[in-house]
Amino acid sequence: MQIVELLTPDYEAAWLPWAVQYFFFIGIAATTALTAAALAFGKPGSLSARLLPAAVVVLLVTAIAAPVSLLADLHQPGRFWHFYAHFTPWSWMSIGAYLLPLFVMLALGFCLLWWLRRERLLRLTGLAMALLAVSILVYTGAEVMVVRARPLWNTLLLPWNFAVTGWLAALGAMLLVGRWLPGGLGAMPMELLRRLGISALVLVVLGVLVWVATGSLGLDPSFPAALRLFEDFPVWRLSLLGAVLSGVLMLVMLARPAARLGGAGYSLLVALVMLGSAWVFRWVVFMSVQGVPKYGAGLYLYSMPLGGDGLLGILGMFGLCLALLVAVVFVLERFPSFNPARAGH
Amino acid sequence: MSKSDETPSTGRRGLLKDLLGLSAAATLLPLAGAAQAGIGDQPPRRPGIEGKRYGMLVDLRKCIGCQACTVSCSVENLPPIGQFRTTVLQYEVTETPDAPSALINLPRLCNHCDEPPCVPVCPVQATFQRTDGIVLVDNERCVGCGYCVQACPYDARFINHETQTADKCTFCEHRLEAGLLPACVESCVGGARVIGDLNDPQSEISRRMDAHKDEIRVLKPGMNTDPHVYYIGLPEAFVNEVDGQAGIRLIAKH
Ligand code: SF4
Ligand code: SF4
Repeated sequence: MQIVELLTPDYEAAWLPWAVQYFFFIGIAATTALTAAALAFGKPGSLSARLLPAAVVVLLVTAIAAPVSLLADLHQPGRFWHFYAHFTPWSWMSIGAYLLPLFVMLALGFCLLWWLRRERLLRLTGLAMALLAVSILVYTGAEVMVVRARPLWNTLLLPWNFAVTGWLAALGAMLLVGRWLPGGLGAMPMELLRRLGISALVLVVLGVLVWVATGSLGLDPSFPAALRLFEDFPVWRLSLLGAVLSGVLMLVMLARPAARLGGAGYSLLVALVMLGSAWVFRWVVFMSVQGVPKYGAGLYLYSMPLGGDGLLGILGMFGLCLALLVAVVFVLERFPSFNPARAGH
Repeated sequence: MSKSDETPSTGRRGLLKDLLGLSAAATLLPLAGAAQAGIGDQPPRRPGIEGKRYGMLVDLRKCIGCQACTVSCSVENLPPIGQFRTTVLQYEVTETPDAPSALINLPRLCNHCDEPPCVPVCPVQATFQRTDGIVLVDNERCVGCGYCVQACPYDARFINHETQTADKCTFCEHRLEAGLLPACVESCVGGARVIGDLNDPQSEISRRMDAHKDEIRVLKPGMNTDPHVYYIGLPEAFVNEVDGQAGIRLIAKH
């Protein structure tokens, strides 16, 4: 039987590129929070302590950028207070609306305590923040995972992949900002960063292997759904190829001696590849998957508007991050800590 | 129907449990349980037209694809140009290479599901179901998050470009309440759409559904949404997903 669609509506994407931005920034913020909470236990001058400043800066910037993108993803951003007027415990999004401000407050508190060099309190706050960070990873993953109508999202591997690619991006972000902090790239513990990067990559690969295994055994319907896309559509084959290539590229880059990462150009490249792959992964998960019809044939074309709901919004968010970064770097250069006399190194 | 007097879900208790679970979550495993327990359960329904459970029966053999329903719905409910609460999808079907092609007209609208996945996801309870089965959106409360649009397996919802809130078919509840038929039913040239009370065994829809028991199909039964828009004459190939060639699309412009 051959079926040709004669007249069907075009169903628009209900989640805009803002969603990509939110999941990108919140993924980085939550995994950086977990990393920073652990790093805070390092002795002064240890490798951990040397990575902490970069982690704190990444945390500060993304913890502010994330809620801004989330707000912009609402078509009625002015009504955000409805979330708090009508608590809805059976909706992950409502639960998230309560977890997010708590997490952001703890994250900002953590950054402040680091700046004030209040070590004991920093560690305690770090623990609370880590707990919230886990809940953020759970809620953001579950929120998308529970959408049965989209088989490609409806898999336990989705929260996992959000988390581990988020961590990859977080480490890339630390590598990126480290160069602008006091001490520059030379002060960064490259070997530690390299090892963490490889661990994150291994976790990504592990997720993929589990997905392929459970999918082949018929336990995960998202797998055949993805296979069908790869078979039918060249764009999807292309994104598969891109994912594999960027994974291999990162592995090759991180496998090289840590000293290489000290080079300004090389480390910039590695950082951008790590950040870029996590961002593109989210773009595919949100924008490309929304182009897969729930009922109809073919694909819906998403043409990105150039304004606030599209390109301008994306660039604007990166601009906001840059502005925050400049401000933080400026402050840290002048006042490395609130009490310079007590500062570590 | 069986679900109309459903007791309130275990939502609140479930949340507490889940949050405790979250704090202990070192792995993502508790997630699967949480997603199926309290979180995601249907909230209690709100009062509707007493004692009724509305449903619609669409007899595809009688649909001529004239789009009178599409037009009258748009006139009645005034969605922005290019956005539709109901529309008739049209397909050309060729059984064997040398057989003549047939035209399939498939009217689509909200199914007013008995287990509507669009309802529990709404973070502000702007989307709700009434005891008479009708699923509605309170567009004064809706924050336009688009979560319900994602959750509906039937593409029945959209973000209205003018109100920037979720929009969908209401079974013309404002007309039903006044004793009128929905605009699409009223204007249907072939008499393909029948709406009525499924709780009343004597209603026209109940009698017709009885008479055609074995030919009745719903869309995507595998989604376990229990749709309350029923079709007579829906080919098997159209039940789940259309595996065919994409054609012209009506594109909504901002
Ligand atoms: S068809 Fe979609 S919008 Fe309508 S009740 Fe079912 S899930 Fe909700
Ligand atoms: S778009 Fe509106 S109705 Fe739909 S889930 Fe969001 S707030 Fe609820």
